[in-house]
This record gives sequence, C-alpha cells and structure tokens, in this order.
Amino acid sequence: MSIGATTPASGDVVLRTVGLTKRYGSRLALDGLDIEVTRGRVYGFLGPNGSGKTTTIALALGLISPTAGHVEILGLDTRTHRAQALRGVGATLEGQAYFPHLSARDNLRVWARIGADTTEQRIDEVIERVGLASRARDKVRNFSLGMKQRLAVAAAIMHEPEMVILDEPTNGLDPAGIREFRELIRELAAGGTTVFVSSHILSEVEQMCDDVAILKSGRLITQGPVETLVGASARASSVLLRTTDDESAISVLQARPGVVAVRREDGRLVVEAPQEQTAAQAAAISRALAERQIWLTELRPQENNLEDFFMEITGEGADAAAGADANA
Amino acid sequence: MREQILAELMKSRTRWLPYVLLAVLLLGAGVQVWLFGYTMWWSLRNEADPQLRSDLPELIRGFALPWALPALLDAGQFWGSMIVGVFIASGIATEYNWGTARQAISRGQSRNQWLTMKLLGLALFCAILLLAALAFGVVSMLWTSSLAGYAITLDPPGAAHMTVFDVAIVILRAGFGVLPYALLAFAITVIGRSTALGSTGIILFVIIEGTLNSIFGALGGTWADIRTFSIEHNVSSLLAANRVDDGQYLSIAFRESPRASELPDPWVAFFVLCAWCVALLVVTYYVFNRRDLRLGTGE
Repeated sequence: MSIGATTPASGDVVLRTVGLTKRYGSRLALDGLDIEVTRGRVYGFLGPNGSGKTTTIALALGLISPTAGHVEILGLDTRTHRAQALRGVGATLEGQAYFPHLSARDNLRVWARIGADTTEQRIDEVIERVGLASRARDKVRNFSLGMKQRLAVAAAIMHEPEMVILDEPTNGLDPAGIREFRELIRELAAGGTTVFVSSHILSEVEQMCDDVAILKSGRLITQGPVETLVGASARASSVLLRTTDDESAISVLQARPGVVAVRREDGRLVVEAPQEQTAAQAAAISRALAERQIWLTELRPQENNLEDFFMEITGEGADAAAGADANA
Repeated sequence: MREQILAELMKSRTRWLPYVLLAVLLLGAGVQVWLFGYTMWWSLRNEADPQLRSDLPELIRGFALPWALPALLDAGQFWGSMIVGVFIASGIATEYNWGTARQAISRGQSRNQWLTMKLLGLALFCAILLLAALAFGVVSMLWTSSLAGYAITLDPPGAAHMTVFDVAIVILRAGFGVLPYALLAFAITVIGRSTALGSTGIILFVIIEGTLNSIFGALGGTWADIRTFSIEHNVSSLLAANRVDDGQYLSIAFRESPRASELPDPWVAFFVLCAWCVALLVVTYYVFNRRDLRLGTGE
C-alpha cells in the first residue's frame, strides 16, 4: 500500500536502507525496508509500537545484524565501513545511555575521549545549547528524565555530526522542553545537519519534520514530504461550527448537497465534506443557516493533519491519540 | 587508545565499588601480616611451653621478609582473584545496564575495541588496587619486623638469597595467577550480562574448583590427574615456585600451602594458564561480536 508517496531526491542521500530485513526467530520485525533520507532534511520515522522503528535504528547503528539487506550511511556501506560511517552520526537511543555516577560534563568528556574529536570549549557549548549549563557539574543520577534526554542530545551533537538519529527524543520532556527541543532540531537542520527522528507523537512530527516514513508491522507503508502526504489524504475535511440552535442547524445541514455527515463533538457541530469543497461549504453553510434565522457564533474549517493521515493508513488510533494528548 | 583507556579509568575511579574492594584487600593484607603473623608471634614469644615455642619459626614467616612476601601473595592471589572478578563483573555489566555499551558502539567504536578498552582499563585499575594492597602489606612487614627486632633483609640465614629481580618475578607469578580468574569473570559477565552472575559465578567457581581438586587429589590416580587441567592446580604451581624454603607458611587463602613436589612444572603451568586465558578471550570476543545489542531490553 502506498498513499501519496513520493521518493526523495536521491542525489544527496545520507541514510539509505536497501531491503533491510530483521527476523527474531519466527517473528519478522522488519521486512525489506527501503528508505532514503536526504541531506539537510528533518525526517520523521513513524509507526505504531512494535512496527520496527527501533529495530531500524539499531540496524543502522550496527547494534544488531540484519537478516538480509544493508544500510548505507553517508554513502558508506555499514557492512564494510561501519565505524567510519558512524563517526559522522550522533544518536540518542531509547532508554538510558549515560554514566549515572558522573557529572553531565564528565559524561560528555568520556564520549569525547572514546571517539568524538571534541574540545572542552565545544563541550561547554553543547551543554549551554541544551540548557544544562547550571547543572553541568551535578551527577546525572540526580537528573530528571527530561534533563537526561537533554544530555543525550548534547552527546549526540557534540562532535558536530552530519546526521543525528533521535529515538523518541521528547519522552519525558515537559511542554516547554518539547518546544525548545523542536527549535533545536530546526536549528540543526538550518545548519545543514540531517535529522532522523523516530516518534509516535504525530503533532510533534508534523511540526518539525520535512519528510516522514510510516511503518506498520515491519513494512514501509509510505514515505514522502509531510505536506504531500497530508494533502493526499482521502479523508473528508470538516467544518466546525457553533450556532444559536443546533437542532435546527443539523436538519438544515443534513439536507445540503455535498455534506457527507453532521455530528456533535465537544459542544460543536462537525460538518464533513469532501476536501476540495470545504471552503465552498463554509460559505454555503453560513448563508443557509442565516436564511433560517440560525446564527453562527463560530465557523472554522478543520484541515487534514498527519494524525488523520496516520490513522487512515495504519488503522491505528490509540498511539496517535496518546501522542496528541501528551503533546497537548 | 591512550584517550580511551583514560576514559575507562575515569569511569572506574569515580565509582565507590573499587574503594570498598580496596578496603577489603587492605584489611586482608592487615589480617595476614598483623594478625596471622605478628600478633600470634607476639603472644607466643615468651611462652615457656616448648611445644608452643616450636611454632615460632612458622609464625615469623607470617610477617618477616622474605618469607612473608610469598605468603602475602598467596593470600592476595586467592582473595584478589575473587575481588578482581567482582570488580570486572560490575564494570562490564553496568555498562550493559546503563546502555553505554551500545552507545559507544553506535558512536563508531568497534565491538573488539570496546571489549579491549574495557579489559585494559579494568585490568589497569585492578593492578593498581592489588599493588596498593601489596604495598600496604610490605610496609606492614617492615614495621612488624622492626617491632619484633628482626633484621629487614632479603638474605636471611637458612634461606636462599633473593634479589630485587627475584622479588619482581615472585610478584608477577602471583599476578599472573589472578589473570585467568579475571578473564573468567570477564567471559561470564559479557555472556551473561549481569553483575550478579559474574560475581557469584567467579566466587562459586573458585570454591567449587578448590573443593573438586581436593576430592580428586584424595582419590588419587586418574582422578588426581584431572587437576592438571584446572586453573587452581596450575596457579598453585606458580605460587609454589614463589616459596623461599620448604617450611610451613601461614596464609589466609582457603587452600593448602602449595608444595612443588605435588604440582606441575611452573613452565608447564604457565602455558596451561595461557591456554585458559586465550580460550576465555576467544569465547568472549566471539559471543560479543555475534550478539545483537537490542534497544529497550536493558542491554
């Protein structure tokens, strides 16, 4: 199945998976995944729990071996040039990845010594950038989850990698932290860094990603620019309205041509119409209700979004709803 | 490589566990020299009973150089192997649990590099701990010898002369006796991914191996020959080569004082122990290189 998918320009691909497959015993975790991430873009990697997002990241980082297929990073085949390829990558992984008995600064010093060609000045810069300057000398075991996430991001970007891979990076962040994080990602992208971010918080992905790929049950359902995918949704668009007489309004609206459905939702009426007719319907609804002396107190077209698109093509609702709630 | 080993030392020196283990080692050295050596000698030195006075020469070996050095190293090898095993198990397994092992590998460090740096870093730190305990023991020997009025010398009457080179060899033999146990703890932990498994595994191995060797020795014949392949039997050969003379030694190691006549040639023992070390390293590296480090599973 492929809805509205477009293939990214392959001229400057920084991450490519070719027929990537991973099997755990009899369970197929990833089935012939082919994705391409182009330089300087923010690439969202979406899918319900268990769809294969984390498996893909682990394969890309060489933590697990593929059953079939391979990964290319920065043009290098990771089967033969893993270490060289990964030096151009920074990653935050799901779960913990820090030394709890060390301070934030010492954690970064350890990573600097292990592989990153990083100066003390650069360590100070990234600590400042992720908002940990005032706690840089504190032991990480005393940090909140959000602070640990910031530290993980600092470790990922400290060696100024060409690509950053972030696995569920906003888990544990408060709304202000999520906003700051979104800005950080946009800054990284503006500076030419490619960002690959896996998340189940759809509204967040929609706001910060240029391209998305959607996985389900280990298979790629679609990938492409967010705007293109959302615009291609087959789902009807809606008009939200409040009136002085909802009962009469429902009768009037249900009789109108082009109206797919009318329902009550959160104290409003929701009028569904084919997407291309939404604007025209808004004007027609306004006029028709006024002719019956029913007055509008609110009229607002509701656009399609990534969450709708995701639910439409995956048939999943729980994750998306949870994500939207978490981000609210 | 230097930077990576420094990173390993930085991780280790800021943990509390090595200092607890160092305290245990210092306590052990203190018990060996002061309690088993000097205090017991001091309590019997004016004893009128000739039977009890006959123990004095043996007790002197507990704190006076050069005899006390092999005795201390014998105890140090026995307890040190378990303590080093616990430290190595903790050093490896915590990196699994913290997720820092997979983080290091995802940053471009190869699996062989990661294991090698862990091993070298931990080995260096363990060597420092063991040498610190040895230094404390030697200082204690000098002090107790002085308190007892014995000459501080490596050239005692009735025993072969020891040079500083001999002393270095004696220390190296005992240190080498720790290595197979350290690598065994390393292997168990890398394979089992658990501090508890690595720590208890090495302690149980030492106890069970020692018990089985005693039983096999008592059974004699082919049973006794099985001991030739055990780590303990070959380590005992190296420790027996450390002895200054054939008299009894007091040691807080829970095993019989090694006697060269019952043991393999030290060079044979050395090569058997090398074979153990190589085998353990091969298994460890093989398993780690083939293993999936899955995310979200505490690995």
